[in-house]
Amino acid sequence: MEKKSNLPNADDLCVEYVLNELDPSEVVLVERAMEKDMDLLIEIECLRRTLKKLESLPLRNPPANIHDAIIHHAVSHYHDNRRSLFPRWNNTTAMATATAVVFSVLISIVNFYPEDMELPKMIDQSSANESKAVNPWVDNNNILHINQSSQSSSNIENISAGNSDLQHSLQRLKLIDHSLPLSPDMRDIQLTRTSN
Amino acid sequence: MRLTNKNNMNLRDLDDQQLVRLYRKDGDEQAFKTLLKRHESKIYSYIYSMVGNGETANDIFQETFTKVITKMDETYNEQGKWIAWVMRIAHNATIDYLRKKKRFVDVNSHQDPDYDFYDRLPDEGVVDAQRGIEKDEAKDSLIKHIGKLPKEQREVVMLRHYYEMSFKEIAEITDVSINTALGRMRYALINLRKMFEKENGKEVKFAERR
Repeated sequence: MEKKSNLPNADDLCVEYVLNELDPSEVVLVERAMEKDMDLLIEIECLRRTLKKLESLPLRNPPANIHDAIIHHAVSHYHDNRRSLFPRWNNTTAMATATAVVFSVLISIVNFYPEDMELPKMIDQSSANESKAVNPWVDNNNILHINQSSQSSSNIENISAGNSDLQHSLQRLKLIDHSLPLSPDMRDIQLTRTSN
Repeated sequence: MRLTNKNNMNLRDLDDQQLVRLYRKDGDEQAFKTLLKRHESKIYSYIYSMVGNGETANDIFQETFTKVITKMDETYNEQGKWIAWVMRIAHNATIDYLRKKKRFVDVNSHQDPDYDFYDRLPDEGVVDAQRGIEKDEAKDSLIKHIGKLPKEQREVVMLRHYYEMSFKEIAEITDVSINTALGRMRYALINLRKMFEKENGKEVKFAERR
């Protein structure tokens, strides 16, 4: 009988052929070799028949009690896992926590909301004070400009009333009668220093 | 308790990955049942064919699924085939058992390098394994012959037969190269052929050629 050595790696190819593990080009190669080699054909046929016998290998089911035990284990494991993820979350604690959160929110609203309401007023006052801050400057003619409204100038007078030095200084200033072409805000008080 | 499937969808139409997802996400008992039902006989048959004993097969089968359930969240990557992952666990559990048993039996054995534990398996075991499986004579003889194969060849035959696994997958599960897995399959088929021919009183013509 002719040796099947014509086919490279014939042993593996035979098994792979009967198991349908070859790609189409290799299948063609084996089938061509089988046409020329009777031994190879017989060998492949024997392997195929043996493999066919394996198909009658029976399946066996596990006992029902083991099947049930596995299902039970799967269910309890899932619940245990969930419990370990959220250990304190049962119905009672969930209700208690929800109630506590609601109370906290209510208390916060009652306690802190009025303060929150007053806050804008304070902000308004401080910003107003900032915007009305006295910002004096002296021009080339030694005229002191106080960029302030009349209300602020009266405020300055009020402040200076308790301070003799400041009052004295103010008395040395005289009000000029001409107004510079300034903005209305700046026109309120224009003072100049005396020559002495 | 959210363990019953609310929808009327047919779980049997879902693939393994989808069933696994349902169980992992929602604890869907029906999904897990479907998964188990789909594969249990193949897994059990594989284990049974490897150990040849019902009681041991029960233990290993249960141990396998205990690991499957407890390790699924940690070690199963849903990209891979679920059944290949389970079969690896079943295979490892089976091999662990066989190694322990071999160690126990071989404590006072000789140093013959060709010695195989399976040659020394008591006949009762093989007969025992056959008894409950099938009364048909041909099937009995097939099971007996498979029981006589070296375990490396037997596992490849079983993984291929029961799971139609590719040799790449078999190679991965059994930690050998694809060529080794193929070679084992080939020798298993040659050995089985010899056994059948011997049983039928025929002359073994081709198996002896190499």
